[in-house]
This record gives sequence, structure tokens and C-alpha cells, in this order.
Amino acid sequence: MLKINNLEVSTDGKTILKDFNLIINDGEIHAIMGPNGVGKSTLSRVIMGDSNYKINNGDIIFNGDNLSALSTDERAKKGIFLAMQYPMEIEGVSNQDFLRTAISSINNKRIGLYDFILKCEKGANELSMNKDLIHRSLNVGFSGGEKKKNEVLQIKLLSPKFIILDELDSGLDVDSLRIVGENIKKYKEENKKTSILIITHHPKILEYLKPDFVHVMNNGRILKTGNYSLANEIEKNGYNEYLNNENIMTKEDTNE
Amino acid sequence: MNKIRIVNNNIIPFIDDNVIICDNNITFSNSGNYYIDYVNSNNVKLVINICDNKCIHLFEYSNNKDISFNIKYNLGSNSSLILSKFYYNDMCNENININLNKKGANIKYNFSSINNNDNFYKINIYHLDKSTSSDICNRIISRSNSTNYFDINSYVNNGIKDCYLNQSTKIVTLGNSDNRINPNMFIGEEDTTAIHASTIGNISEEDLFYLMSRGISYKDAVKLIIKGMILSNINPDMDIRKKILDILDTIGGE
Repeated sequence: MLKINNLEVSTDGKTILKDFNLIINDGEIHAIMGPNGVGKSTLSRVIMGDSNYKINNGDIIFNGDNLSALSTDERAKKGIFLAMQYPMEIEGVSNQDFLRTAISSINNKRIGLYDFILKCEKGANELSMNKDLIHRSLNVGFSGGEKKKNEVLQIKLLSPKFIILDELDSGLDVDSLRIVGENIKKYKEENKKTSILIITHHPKILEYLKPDFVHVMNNGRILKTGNYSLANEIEKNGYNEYLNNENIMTKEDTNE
Repeated sequence: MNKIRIVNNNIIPFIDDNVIICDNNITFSNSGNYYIDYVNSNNVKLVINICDNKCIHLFEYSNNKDISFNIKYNLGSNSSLILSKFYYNDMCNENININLNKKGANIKYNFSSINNNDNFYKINIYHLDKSTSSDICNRIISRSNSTNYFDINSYVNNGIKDCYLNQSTKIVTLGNSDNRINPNMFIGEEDTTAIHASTIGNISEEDLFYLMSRGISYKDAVKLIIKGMILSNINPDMDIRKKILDILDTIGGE
């Protein structure tokens, strides 16, 4: 379970998240929607431990551990995975070397080469990935779709308990979105206790990963919480209705 | 790969019909793969000649104390020198002169180094005939309290047409160090393609965050990035790779 209590976060002296509260139980899928610049990606990076963000108040508890006390790699070892909106391109670091080091680090045990190759090939096949990508420099020269598939391949190999998908759907064509969506859905079916936080602008990805809760976010906090139908309402009517009514929202509208 | 040993600044004689050794001159008269190992040396003076129409893949390896190099590479007509070098010296003062003497000569110069203390590199590339090409790629890890100066000078005179020049130098700093890159291209001919890039900086925090978000410790993430930068530039064979990995293990993710 992930529990965020009264979180206030700033960067460069500017407050991004304020009085932010959220509970995600094991096995649940949550979606956070909202206009650009309201703090959605900040939330994902704060959960993962990005040192560019300062926690001024509140805490993030994951399965009983206060994440503030843990470094980014320790959070990953606890089972948290952030699929990034813009996965980094790292020249010279081979994707294979990176994946093998990551698996070995997460499991605290060096994975054998044969096992690693088998797992990679299986994952790459399921994602219709070009196998050459495994041997290339990490994300260097990958298309937008290939980068996102590489993120999902990492999910398959690292077996996280809590997955944050930060705009996984951005930069994906229709076919790639279907492949990526179906693969995460399959992972979720095989790992029922895994919970997922989807950060998105578009409800298309939610057709594959039907969320239990949809939250609308603005000015660094959740304005409204609903079920899957809320995403469709947003798609139809936009955010204005929620933003205009921000001042009259009550705690009952949110899951605080 | 044929090994040439330079011990105590001298070339150890060996028999190879395709290599002529005379004093401090090494002449490659046929295409092939060679490895030069500098052992217990502190003052190396060498002239390396590549004959017309030959292609040489050369790997140079130096793990010495305070060493100075004075190396001249002479390339003949339509010859190629694909040079990969790895240095891990206590100190290094290097003077390199590359003469692309005849039409179609080309050099690919890939240098990776992990640097301690004071290091000075001067690389002069002379495009002396048309359609010659030079591709210089330096990848340096600068350890704490080291000094690393690069002077890279490419020359093309008026009338030497259709030349290609590339200089790319990247220094990644681990801790405080003094680093300078002077990339100069003295070009007197319009019909020239010239590219250069020089960067000095720490390991990217974003790169580290990405790797650490996959469970990789800070130390291992630094090591992975250094290893990738050093090895991808020079593509060593398994034996040399093992030697370099052992060195990387000793410096770790400092």
C-alpha cells in the first residue's frame, strides 16, 4: 500500500505539491489526470526520490516504510518502478549491461547470462521489439515507441509491486499503445497485488488498464476523485468544469 | 592480433613479414590487426608508417607511471589507420602528429583514458593531400585533483580539397579537477567538412537518477556510465577489456 499524507513539495523555491493526499491499496489501479504543469510528473519523481525536489511537509509511506529515508535505488528495491515520460538516453551504456545490472541489483544476486537472454528474448517478443535494441546503447536512437516498450520490458524483468506510468501513452502510435497497454494489463493479471498509478492526459490507455479510481489534479493537489467514468467525462468536457469549481470542492469530492 | 611490446622505451624485436622495424620506426606494409603494449616506459618516441592502400587496426595500451609520448603517424595513399588507445597512467605528456600524406588517407583515432595527476595532450592533424579524413574521438575520466589539458589542432591548407575533419572530446569529472580543451581547426580551403564538439562536466544527474530508479546503487550507476563511455569508444578485445574492467573495479564509482 502507498499512502501519501499532507505532502508539500517544492523545487527552486516554488511549491509544486501542497496538502497532497492519496492512498493506493495493493492491487488497485489509479489514474491522475490534469492539465499541464499541475504537478503530476513531480508527484511521480518525488515518489521515486528525485533529489531536485524538496519535501517540506508530509510523508510517503510504502508498505510501512517511510520513503523519505530511502535513496532512489532503495525505493526501487522495495518494488517501486517509474516508467518515465522521457526515458534517458545514455551513450555507451549498453541496454543489455544496464538491464542485467538492474535485475541483479533488484534481486541482490547476479543473474546468469543464459537466464537473462531467455527472459529478455521472451519480453522483447511479447512487446514486438526489435531484438537489436537489447545490444544498443540505452535508449540512444530509439524511436518514441521503442523507448516506451523498453520501459515496459524493464517492468517485465524487474517485477515491481507498484508501477507509476508517467504519460506512457505520449509519443506512441496506435499499434504501439495497444501492445504496451496489453502487456501491462497481462503483467497486472499475473501479479494481482501489483498496484499502478497512471499519469495521463488521454483516456485511451485507460481502456487497456481500467482504473479503480480517477483523480483530477490542479495546483498541486487532487480536486476530485471518481471512477472510470470520470475519465470519459474529462475527455468529453475538458478540465474547465473542475478547475472553475475548484473553490467549492469539498473533501467528499476527493479521497482525502 | 599481433602484439608489439615496447619495454623501457624500446621496441622489442619480433618477426613479422608485414612489419618492418628500424630504430624507433614501425612500418606496416600489409593490412592487419596489431596491439602495442607500453611496458615500464617513461619516454616513448615512435614513428608509425602505414603504407599505401593498407588498412591497419591498431590498439595501444599504456598503464605506466610518469610517461611522455612523442608519436608520429604517417599515412600513405588510400591507407586507413583505425586506432584505439587506452591509457591509465599516473601522469602523461603526449605529443601526437598525424600526417595524412597522400590522397584518400584516413585515420579514426579513438582515445579513452582514466586520468590521475597531470596530463597534457597535443594532437596535430595535418591534411596534406585531398580527400583525406580524420576522426578524433577522446573520452576521458578525470579523477579528483587531476589536470587534463587537450590541444587539438587540425590543418587544411588552401587547395587541399574534399577533406573531412571531426574532433570530439568529452571529459567527465569525478570530483574537483582542472580541465581544458582547445579544439582548433585551421582551414584554408572552402571545400572542407569540419565538425567539432567538446564537453567537460560531471556525470549527468538525470542519467544517475534513471539508473538508480532501476535499483542500481549510486556507485554501480557511476561505474556503469564510466565503463560505457570508456569501452564503447575503443571496443577492445576480450583480453584488454578484462584489463580495463579490472582497473575500473579499482576506481569504482568514486
